[in-house]
Amino acid sequence: MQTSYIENLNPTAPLNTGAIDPESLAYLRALIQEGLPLVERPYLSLAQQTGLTEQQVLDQLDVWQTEKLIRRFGIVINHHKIGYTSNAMVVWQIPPSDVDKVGKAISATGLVSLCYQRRACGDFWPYNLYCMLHGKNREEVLQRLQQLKQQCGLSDIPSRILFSLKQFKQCGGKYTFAQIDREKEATCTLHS
Amino acid sequence: MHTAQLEEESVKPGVVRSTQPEYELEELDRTLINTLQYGLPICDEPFARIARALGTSEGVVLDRLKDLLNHGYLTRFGPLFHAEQLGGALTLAAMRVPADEVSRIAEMVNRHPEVAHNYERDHDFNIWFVIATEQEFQIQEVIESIESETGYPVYNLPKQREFYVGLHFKA
Repeated sequence: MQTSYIENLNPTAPLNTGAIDPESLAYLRALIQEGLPLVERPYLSLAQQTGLTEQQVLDQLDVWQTEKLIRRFGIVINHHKIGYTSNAMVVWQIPPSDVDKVGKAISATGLVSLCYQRRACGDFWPYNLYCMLHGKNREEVLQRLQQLKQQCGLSDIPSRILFSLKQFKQCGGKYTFAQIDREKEATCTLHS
Repeated sequence: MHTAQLEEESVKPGVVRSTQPEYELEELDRTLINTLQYGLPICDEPFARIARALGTSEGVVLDRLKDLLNHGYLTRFGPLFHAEQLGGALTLAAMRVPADEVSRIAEMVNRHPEVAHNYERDHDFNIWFVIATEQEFQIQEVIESIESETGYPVYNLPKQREFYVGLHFKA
């Protein structure tokens, strides 16, 4: 289904936030990381809790998005729950001069959930481009990988596929900064 | 992950919704899942805007989202901040240990609170985990500590460039 509001998520409105004191900002950031309140006017609710105006909250979120301090502003799906129970990390050994081209090509296929360049680690782990493939079963993941190889001309590139077998540890840990917990959660989502 | 506030807010009375653990997704749930992964409107009445785009009411959108959260279909509802930009450090690390040692070593790795999660993968590099610390230098400290405890090398595979992050799943 087409949604028209998506295009209007981040209007190029003036980003004048006025003089918001840093404490209110820090509080807003902490609050919003707990999730957006599910009420008719969630930003007004955040404003009331932080002593800001609704407009200040809206403007500040635009600023954080523009500055890329906010990585994503959407819902995060429990993909296991909707049936994506198989995942594989696929690593490629790409000549350094081609990494840019291949990374962009892989990303453009829509077949991968993420694509990162990582530092290679000696001769026994020479892989420098990583992507994550999700599917409802192994066959689906392997099919996607086949498609990916065909679409990006990767059939002759040295690669390894690593299916996940077992999750030893759920996301957890104790940190001073809530931000890191949130990012860990994002990372867990990305790698799980 | 949802707030206490969300937990307190139950489904509105009069709306007949299943509260069984196994919640069957309906068409509208799927549409919400499939579209809101790409973003939430930043405007005074975001749920009303979503409802208009989907041809339903604000109350229905809110109820459905609460159900999806309560039944675990959604893990987050709101922004994810970029940890590196806030000063946090992250890396992916791998170990290659004998198959009969995997469980024992994984347990030792997991005792470190900086280890965000840990997966066994079907490869001779078989233990894969994320290390998240407040500061960059602490990554190396954790790695050295795991190496000395387990007697196996830990391969540090830090991210150099992010080409694509699009964890979008079609329901």
